[in-house]
Amino acid sequence: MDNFIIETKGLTKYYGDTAAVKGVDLHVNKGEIYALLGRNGAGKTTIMKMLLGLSMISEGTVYMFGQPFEGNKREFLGRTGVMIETPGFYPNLTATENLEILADLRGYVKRDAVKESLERVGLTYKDKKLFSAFSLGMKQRLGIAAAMIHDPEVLILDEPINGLDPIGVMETRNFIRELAQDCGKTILLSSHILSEIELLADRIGIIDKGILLEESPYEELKKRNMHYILLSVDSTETVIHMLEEEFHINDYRIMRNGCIQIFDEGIQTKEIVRFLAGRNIYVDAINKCSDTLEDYFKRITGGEGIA
Amino acid sequence: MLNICRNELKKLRRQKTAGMLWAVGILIPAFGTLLCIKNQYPFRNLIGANVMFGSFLMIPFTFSVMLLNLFELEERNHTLKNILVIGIPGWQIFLSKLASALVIVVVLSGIYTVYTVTGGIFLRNYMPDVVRIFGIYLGTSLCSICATMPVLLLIILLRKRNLISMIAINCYVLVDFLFTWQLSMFHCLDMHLPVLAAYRITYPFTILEYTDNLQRGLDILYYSMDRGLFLLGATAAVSVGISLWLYKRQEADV
Repeated sequence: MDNFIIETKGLTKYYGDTAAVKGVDLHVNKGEIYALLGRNGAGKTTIMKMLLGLSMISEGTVYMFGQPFEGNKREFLGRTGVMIETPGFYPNLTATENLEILADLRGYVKRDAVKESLERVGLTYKDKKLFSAFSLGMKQRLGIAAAMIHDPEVLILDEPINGLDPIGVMETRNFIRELAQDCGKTILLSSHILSEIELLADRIGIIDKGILLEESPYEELKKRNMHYILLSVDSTETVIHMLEEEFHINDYRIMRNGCIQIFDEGIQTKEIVRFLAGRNIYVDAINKCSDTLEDYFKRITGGEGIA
Repeated sequence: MLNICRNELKKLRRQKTAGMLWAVGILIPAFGTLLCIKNQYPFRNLIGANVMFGSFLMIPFTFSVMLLNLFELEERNHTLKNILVIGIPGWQIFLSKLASALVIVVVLSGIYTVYTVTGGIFLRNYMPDVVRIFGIYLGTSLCSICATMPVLLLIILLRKRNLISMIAINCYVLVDFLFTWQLSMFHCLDMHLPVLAAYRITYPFTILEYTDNLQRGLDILYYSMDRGLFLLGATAAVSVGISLWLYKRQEADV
């Protein structure tokens, strides 16, 4: 409990009668990279905005650093670096000028903070190029630089690799990893790019239609859910009923082509074959398979993939 | 607060709208000054012209459009969230933008003082009292700004629709100026419009030397100072109060 840097209890957001976020209980541990994974419009940004006080909370509570956010807002925001949605800066100013304004407003940043944060993301200090002439990738980098300018303990990054070229994606990924591993920063990021989440996150929160469906360490998720038995039989419904009774399976899915995916652990394929053969049921095929994160995401959200 | 205000002004660097506003605010009273020099008017006419076209037209115009620009640039560039995540409350952002626009008013008053002091050298009855001249411009400008403060409501309500807000606030400033400029033609001496009160209570200060004609004007334009100040203060306070309330409601969800 004490180790949670960010924790929410029953976080809910209504827009009129529509719930954009419903009863989210989020737990971000110190020093980890926590990734919120969900489709566009799933509620990732809304959750982040509520965490930062940028959006009114309809119900629920946010705790940061073990204390309620409300009442300690200014202190907590001073310890948090943020990049929400598209990075917004003044187009008539250079990157340095934009960051100098933010540094000045924060008021307690290091003397060379602007230079250091720009160089860290690969932008040139005192470059005369105006923000209006920046590419999307450069804008994204500047957004990250702005989030780090005051050396925060926590970074909240909304879609940090959006718009970056492959090299930029790799650099940003390494850089985020370095921040967590070497500098001990806690990072909460959101993304809909599964491949990146797989490479980056220590823990994953899967969100769909405003509901946090699952929150687990990535390794555990991989171990627990990525393996399943794929069974192809003629009478699917009967077989499922029999397997439920015999093996007490409850985590399975019937695919459109009639195949059954069994996700329950501890069941051997040979046991299933022996059992079905004993009841004169012909097994077309049976395989031990591994899911990708995308397959798993599809399964628990009950829909299409996202990236 | 001062820090936020200073940074608000930094945001206007290299901005075309701000540049054009400065140019208009600076150049138009320059033409007025040149006109007075060309026609060899007395020095008091130069003061009168700069008060009328500077303090009651150019300054409310520059103030309103600059304020709209300051609010609107955060919307256009999605930068408000950057400031809010620092922990600066919405009311401070609001008031610092207002203060920045007022700084521009003070700077323009200073520029008009320079015009007047320089132009006056070529005119009759020149009185090079820089402090008094600056006081006249600043006083009339601030009164005029207080009278124009309801424009803040238009800015807050319409700032997300740039063209409409620009047209609305310009119309507001122009109507106010027409009332002041054609005070007697519109038979508005019985009206208690803030801008008319602002003009009438500051008129005595703009007279550097009394003549029969000016004394007669003063008698006609008389408006009690306490009532005028109350009217202006109330206009400004109510406008700022309601606008701030609206702003905070709108910014509850960025």
